[in-house]
Amino acid sequence: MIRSLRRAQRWIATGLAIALPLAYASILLRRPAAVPTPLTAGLDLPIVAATPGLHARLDPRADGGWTVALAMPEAAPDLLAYWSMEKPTSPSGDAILLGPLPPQARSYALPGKDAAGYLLIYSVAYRATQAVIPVASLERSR
Amino acid sequence: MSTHYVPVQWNRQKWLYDLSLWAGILAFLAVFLGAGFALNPAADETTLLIRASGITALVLLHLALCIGPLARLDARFLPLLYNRRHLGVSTFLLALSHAALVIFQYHLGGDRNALLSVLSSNTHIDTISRFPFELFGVAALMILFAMAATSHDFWLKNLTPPIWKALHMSVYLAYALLVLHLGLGVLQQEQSPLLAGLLGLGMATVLGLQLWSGWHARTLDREVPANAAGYVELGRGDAIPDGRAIIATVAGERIAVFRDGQRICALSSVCRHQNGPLGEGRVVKGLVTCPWHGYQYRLEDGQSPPPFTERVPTFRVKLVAGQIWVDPRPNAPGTYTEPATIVNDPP
Repeated sequence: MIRSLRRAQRWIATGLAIALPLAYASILLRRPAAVPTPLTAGLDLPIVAATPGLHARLDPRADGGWTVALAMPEAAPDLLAYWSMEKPTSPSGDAILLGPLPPQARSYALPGKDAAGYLLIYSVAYRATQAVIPVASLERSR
Repeated sequence: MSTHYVPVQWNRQKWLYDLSLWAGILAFLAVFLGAGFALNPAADETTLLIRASGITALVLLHLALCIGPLARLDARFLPLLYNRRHLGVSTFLLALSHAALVIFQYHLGGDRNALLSVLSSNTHIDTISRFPFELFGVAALMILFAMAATSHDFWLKNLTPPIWKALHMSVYLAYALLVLHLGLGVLQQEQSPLLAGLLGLGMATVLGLQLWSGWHARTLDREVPANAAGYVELGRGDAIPDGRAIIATVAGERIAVFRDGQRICALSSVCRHQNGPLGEGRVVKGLVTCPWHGYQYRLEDGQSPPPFTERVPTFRVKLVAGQIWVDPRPNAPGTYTEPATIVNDPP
């Protein structure tokens, strides 16, 4: 009884010793670079809040909507990007969560076709708004 | 070792073990939180608590996984094994705190059910950097819960030791899931080589010790062949230190041949409690004492002293010219067998 358990334990440990370091190394090697991808296309958006390194660009989508690409390399932890029709000070009310903002550049599809609004970047870790980007101030001409 | 149900059989050792454990846990949490606030005064306290509870649980899981092989390799680590269950339950409680704080911080504010939100808010299964790592954490937590909930002799007795042991071996799966949880979660955001290196070091320690002790124990499992009369020879009786045993594998199971003064007796080396290694224990006042949790058996019949009822199989043993010969066919548990006697050579 104890022998079979010990044998099973031995094989589990052997299997883990092979598979787990491989999986771990693979995950680490495939991490995106910490340096943000340059945002080369689209229209620059004016940044209202003075946040170091924040870069935002607006790109038209084939379906008539818009995509915003954000990069914020010197970021506070746990950043979330929100979209709001009214100028927000915090991600409350009608703000729509676009998703988490990693240190690397990331694109988000904006809701609606022509709706103007504001992008809000909020740090959950600091419980503070990091940046507000008024998209409404830019004419969205193609 | 019990004749009736007692929730926890507290004794001085268990109190000391738990007090030391929780003093260590609280000290670790205090240092982590203090350093976190000192290095980053703007940090939110909930976020720091999430990280502190998660890291403490992970450190405890590493300890729990290292104690077993360390105790098998060196008897000096046996005191750490004595109350490992409470270490495991503490690990689960910290992991549960981590999960509860994550739900409070990230999933309670939406209009979706918070638990449903944990499982369904991240659907990016096609990318490494945004993979829903939360699912690995949830799965690991469920395994830790099953283990913590059954970390009691009530379940050990009702599930039987083999099933209970097999269930608790799922800790390896929980560990693998937690490595993935961290690798696909926090290590995608925090790209400091220190964090990745520490987890890699922990993984190497756990897996290295498990492999070392596993393959070391393999040597004990080599069968000793029987002679024509059906007996196996296990060396000289007077070579066994007084009060200790030699362990050998005969007929598919490990047996322990103990010496108590001039008496030689052979018992199964598998304790009835948690399959502990009886042969690594010692004879205390004529009773073989399991090194794991102190279960005791009489040498001559493998029976626990009254009022306890545990019994292990015994084996017939004889000494021929000082050599130990053991009949590999086990007697029924609790069967009396005549001890062999070491006869000193005349000067």
